[in-house]
Amino acid sequence: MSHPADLLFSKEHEWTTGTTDEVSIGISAFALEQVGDVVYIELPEVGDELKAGDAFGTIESTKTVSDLYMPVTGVITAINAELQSAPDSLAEDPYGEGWLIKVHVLDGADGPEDLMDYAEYADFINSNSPTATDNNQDAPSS
Amino acid sequence: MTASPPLNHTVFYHKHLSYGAQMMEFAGWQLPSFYRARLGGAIKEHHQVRQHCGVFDVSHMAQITLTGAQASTYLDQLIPTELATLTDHYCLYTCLLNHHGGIIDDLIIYRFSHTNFMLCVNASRRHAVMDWLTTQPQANTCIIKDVSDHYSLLAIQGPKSLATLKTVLTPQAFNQVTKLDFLEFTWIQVHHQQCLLSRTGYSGELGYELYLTGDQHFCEHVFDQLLTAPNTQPVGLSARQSLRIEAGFLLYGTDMNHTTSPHHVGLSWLISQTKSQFIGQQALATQVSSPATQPYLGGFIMNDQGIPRTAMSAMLPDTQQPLGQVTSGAYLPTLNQAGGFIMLNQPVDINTTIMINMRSRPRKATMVKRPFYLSKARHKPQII
Repeated sequence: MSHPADLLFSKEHEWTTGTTDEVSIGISAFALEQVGDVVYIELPEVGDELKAGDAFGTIESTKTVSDLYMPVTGVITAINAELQSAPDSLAEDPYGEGWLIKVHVLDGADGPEDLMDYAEYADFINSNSPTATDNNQDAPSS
Repeated sequence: MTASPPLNHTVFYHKHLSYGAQMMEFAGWQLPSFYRARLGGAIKEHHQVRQHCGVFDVSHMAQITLTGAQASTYLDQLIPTELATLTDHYCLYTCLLNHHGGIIDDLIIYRFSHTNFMLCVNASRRHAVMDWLTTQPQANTCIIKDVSDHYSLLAIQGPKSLATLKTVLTPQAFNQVTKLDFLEFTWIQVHHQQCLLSRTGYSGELGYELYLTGDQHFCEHVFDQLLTAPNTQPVGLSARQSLRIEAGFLLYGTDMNHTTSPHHVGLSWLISQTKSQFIGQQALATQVSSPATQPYLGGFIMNDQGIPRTAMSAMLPDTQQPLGQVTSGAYLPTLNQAGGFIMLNQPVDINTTIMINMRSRPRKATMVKRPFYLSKARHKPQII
């Protein structure tokens, strides 16, 4: 794994390695850049069954707390406990060592909606990003 | 629809952008939160200040001068602290009180002479303080001027801050600075410009605040030059917040306001017991006679995961009795724990376990004494 071009992305900025069988799930580099320094990561228990769209944990940064949402429906088979004890390493390799959970996708469950490939996701964040204009938002309006 | 007023920019605004700052709004100003293109995050910037040196743009802070033969007499009645203890070229941390003993602002008084003072006040309180100063009885006995526009202010903070200052000073001026006591200030030459330097700060570390006079070009040049010093980085407001919480320092508008008195926020030490008269004195005396009913700002450190944030509620674990609200909270990198301050509605002993309600889930914390972190070098004479 690990190249973002091979991943699928949700509008909530989670990525998944696929939509069938065993998948890894994480959070995009763009989202990490937005939240700033990550301090705590809360993840579900192995064995938990969660639906696409359900919150599976939280990521807390110096700035804010954000929920993490399942991009697929399935059963949690592993959590990245190592990452929980060194959350600052998440930003170093968000698409590789920074995986959050592994999931066995349930067959026949409601499929994921609106997952995007990397090019579509890049378009999505460009059209929704507040940061592009962040530094100009206070420009005097005549 | 009412548009919010445009945010103010300091003279360093373009420099911040060129150093890759993530900007944020603070008290009507646009200031760096952290520098993405330098250390890359607030936690690294925090450690930078604790271990080396960080340079902060604090030009949003406001300065007001009081001058005239009666300046000392007039100012003395406005503060609970004994102004007579302040000698020339030293600073005094104190506050202005209203008649109910509530804090109008906390500030630093610079004494140039007994007829000439400068107040460094919070940006958010600039106009409120100016209004208060100019409307008290006898205000017309001195000249009161907002001189904020004359200065651009950089805070140079950290155990290596003296070495950083060396980059902008002549050997003679540098020699002068090495002799500065904690809370002492001096005029110094920065290139050909007469500037003010005080051994003050908000980080809890050895540090200085440099009041730059001169135009934008000059100020930008000094900022750039300071950052050429070894182990020196620009630091933003996010780290400033965690640094000041660790050091036990309060933020006006968050930890205190016009309804809280010095007694409520652990600033009783500012109140002189021997002064004959100052505004708010009677109200404070009434509070002392009934301490149990007064709110009190306490410190706490989290035992469970989670960062306490302003306005989160707290309670006792077993009885679920409400204790009050978090005023300030942050992840505190030096402690590697989160913590903050809480305005308690009842006395709670140090080491008591409390619960902070975070997103509907109570998390365990322990009441501790402020400050959470004490630098050994802050008050001592400095040797490079």
